Amino acid sequence: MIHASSLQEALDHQASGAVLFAGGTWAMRGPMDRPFVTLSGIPGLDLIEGQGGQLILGALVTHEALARALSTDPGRAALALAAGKSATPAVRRMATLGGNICTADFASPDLVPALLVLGACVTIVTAQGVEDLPLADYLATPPGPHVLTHVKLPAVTGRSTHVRLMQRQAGEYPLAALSMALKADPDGTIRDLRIAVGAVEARPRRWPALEAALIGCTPDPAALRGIARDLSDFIGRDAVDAPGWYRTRVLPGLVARAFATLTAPEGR
Amino acid sequence: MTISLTINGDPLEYSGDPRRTLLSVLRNDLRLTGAKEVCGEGFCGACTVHVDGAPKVACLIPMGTLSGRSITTIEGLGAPDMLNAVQQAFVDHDVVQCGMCFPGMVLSMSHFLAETPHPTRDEIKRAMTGNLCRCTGYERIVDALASIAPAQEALS
Repeated sequence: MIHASSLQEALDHQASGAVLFAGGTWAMRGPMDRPFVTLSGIPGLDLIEGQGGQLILGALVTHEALARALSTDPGRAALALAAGKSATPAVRRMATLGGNICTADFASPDLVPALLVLGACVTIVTAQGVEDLPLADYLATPPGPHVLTHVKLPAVTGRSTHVRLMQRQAGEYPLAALSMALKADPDGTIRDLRIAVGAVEARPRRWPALEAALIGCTPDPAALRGIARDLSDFIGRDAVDAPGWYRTRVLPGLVARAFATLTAPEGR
Repeated sequence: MTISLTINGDPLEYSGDPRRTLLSVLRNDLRLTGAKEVCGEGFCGACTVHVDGAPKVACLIPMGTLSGRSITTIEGLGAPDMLNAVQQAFVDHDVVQCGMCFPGMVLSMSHFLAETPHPTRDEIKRAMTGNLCRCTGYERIVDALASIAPAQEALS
């Protein structure tokens, strides 16, 4: 185990085959024949800082710290709920924001769909320098060797929420998770809508067909499930906790639940 | 590289593989077997210990990250003639069945009640989500935990 004290040092060790180590809740469950390079000695990676309306989060911010910091930030409720309900209290004290994003083998990272609907960008450091890119691009085309250092969230203009379907209410991975961010006129017309789905496919992603169909509309809540069913192009993954068909079957229900939350008088 | 930390107040100098888990060192080197090795993936909470006062799962913590840290295991919490409030409530309510979960349960709940001294039953249940009781004796555990604040107020 190597303790990096700078990003360059971490990159150098990564280039030599070391695995980046943040909270350890995933890395410690994998092969133990690899060297780990810990990032905890690099200054600034536990940052939580508001800049104007923007929020900057360090990659080593834990789920617990994130949920606590966002507890008074209703516009970013999707992320607060995702951070505060994932896994278990003890794991939330260890698992990090950066680990949740960067663990490519993890199909059910709760934070990622919430970050997608909140318009997150990630900052990565490579041998070529520092780069900011949208999280969606980062997920679609994973860059070469890099350290993800920060997540930047733009100013919030609407409400958001995060809903999960569980076998038990807590303590395990969701069978399907859905984040939604909504901006609506007083008459209910949808001005902006972002929906992202996690746990259903190998990696979380937005649901552009459903977003496009609903923006500019005043949808009848009773019709939402049918619209979502018709516009679903997700191909569910089979795993030990649920077959793929089941994960896609429950998505319309999660859409309806999230929409009801966001359009309730005190919804979030 | 030698890692210096404390376990239940006693200093430990560790110079083995830094990737080795805290749980393995506790159980196999120090014979502190209160923390149980069950799922090994952070789900069940049977290996919960306090790291600098906060409950964490020892099965996922490599020794190399513990330099300067203070670890408390169930063996370091209370004493046979001076149990802490959670331990005493577990005895009073006859909570312990097979014994696999309760060391972790005690450590998690002792921290939770210190932060939330007057919890509702729902708050207790949410706080218990990381500690699985394989005997499924949850209701009695919740009863025991819910009894603590009123009992302490009656004594004061």
